[in-house]
This record gives sequence, structure tokens and C-alpha cells, in this order.
Amino acid sequence: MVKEMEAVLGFIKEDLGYDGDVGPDDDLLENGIVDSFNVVELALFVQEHFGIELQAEDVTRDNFANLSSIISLIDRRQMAV
Amino acid sequence: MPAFTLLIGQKNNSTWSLRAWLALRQTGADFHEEVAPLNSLAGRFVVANRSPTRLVPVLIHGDFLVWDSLAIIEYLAELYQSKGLWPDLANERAQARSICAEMHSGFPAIRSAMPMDIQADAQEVSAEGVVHEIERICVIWRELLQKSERRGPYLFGSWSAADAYFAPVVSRFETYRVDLDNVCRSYADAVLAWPSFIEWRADAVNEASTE
Repeated sequence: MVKEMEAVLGFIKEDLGYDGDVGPDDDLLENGIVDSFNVVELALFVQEHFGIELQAEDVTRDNFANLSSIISLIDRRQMAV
Repeated sequence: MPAFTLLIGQKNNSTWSLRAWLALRQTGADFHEEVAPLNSLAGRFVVANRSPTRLVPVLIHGDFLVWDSLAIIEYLAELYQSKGLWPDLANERAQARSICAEMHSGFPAIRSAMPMDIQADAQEVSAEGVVHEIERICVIWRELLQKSERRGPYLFGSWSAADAYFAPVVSRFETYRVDLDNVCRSYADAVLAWPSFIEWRADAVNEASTE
């Protein structure tokens, strides 16, 4: 879980260019860490990096609300494989 | 399973999707439409995941993709040569392609000030650039309709891809209450009465806004 979170956080910082601190439960959109277009980038990254296939219904505000919810989505999809 | 899948944006707004969809309908081919609303996270994800340009429309034919409405129409015209996507005469085909290309790359003022919004009942737009572009469209229509009136109500008499290209314009003219002369009005009415366009508009009216 720590590695997964580091990977997602690394993408947010290195690829999406956010240079502040991000806690596991910080709301990514509300805090301006990502915008809604970045959420799509994040979803594509998650899919490719973790080798899972996301469905359209997975890409929701709730699932991409914060790092914890993204990790939870990754775990659910990895278990479904 | 249908041979084709057409990935499109929401029907209320996506003009490029409408053009490809009308052309595909005209072929009579069985197809699956996949609507990915670009005003939703899920829809944008689907398009980003499946479209090489992250834009719609995309025609998926087996494992083969064609993107961009004009390329899709050209591909369909090659596959369905008897369906009249382009006019029969070479000079008319060239003319049809010219006006489609003009529509494809031009009319920025109309695009900006009069976005297609089938659900809306908007006010007339009178900005100078818009007025010039509307007049240019009416000139195109009048010139073609005067030549083709004995052959049918569309730009080249029978329906062609050029009419698919101008269908979103007709929709905009309805929404923004553009005053048309009799020739252009009767053309707009013919497009509005076209069964495939009626079907699209009905879907668009019933479409929920996603965000």
C-alpha cells in the first residue's frame, strides 16, 4: 500500500507538477492538487502502472477524491483480476 | 455483433460526432454507438483511453480505428460506394469535399458564439463575425440549392455527406433563431425532417447533463 501510494504521489508531483504536500486523505480536487482533466491522466496512469483495466464507472469523483480512495480502487481492481 | 462501433460525445453538443453518426446511419450498416459524455470524468476517461487524439468521433471497425469525422466519412464512402455519401458527378464530389473542408476548418465565430446546444432555446447572436459567417453559409447553400432544386431538397439534390456536415449548422440556426430566406429555410426544414436527424435530436433532448 505504501508503494502504491508513493507511485501515485510521484505521478502527481512529477507528471502533473504539484509541488506541495499531499496527505492520504487530502481532497485532490478541492485542494487544487489536480483538476478534473488531471483526474483522467491519473486514471490512465493508474491503469498502466498497476496493470489493471478501469471501467468508465470507476472514474468517479469519489474514487479519485484522495490518495486513499485511489489506492482502495487499485486494490479492488487488482483483486478482481 | 455489429461490425462498427462509433465512439461519440454527448448528443446535445458534439457536432463532429453528429456528422459521422449521420453518415454511418446513411450507409445502413449495423453499428453500436458508444456515447462518452465529454462533460463527465468517466466520459473523458473513455475517450482518452480509446481515441488516439483524445477526441471524438472514432470509428472502430474490428481492431481498426478511424478518427476525425472527415476521415470516417471518406472511409465509409469507400466501403459503401452505392450509398451516395458523395455525389455521383466528379465536379460535384469536389464541390462537396470543398464545402466540407471549409466547414471542417472554418467558421470560428459561429463555433465560438453559437455552440450546438439542442436542448437550449437561446437568443439571436448578432456579433459581426458571426453575421459574416452565417451569410457565407447561406451563399453556399443558395448556390448549390439553385442548381440542385429539381433533383431533391439537399445541397446536391440527393442526400450527401455535405448535408451531414451542415446538419449541426442547421441545428445552431434553430437554437439561435437565425432568420433565413426562403431558399435556406426550405433547406433547413429538409434537414430537420430527415429521419436520422430527428432521431439524433430526440436522443439529445432526452440526454441528461452529467456534470
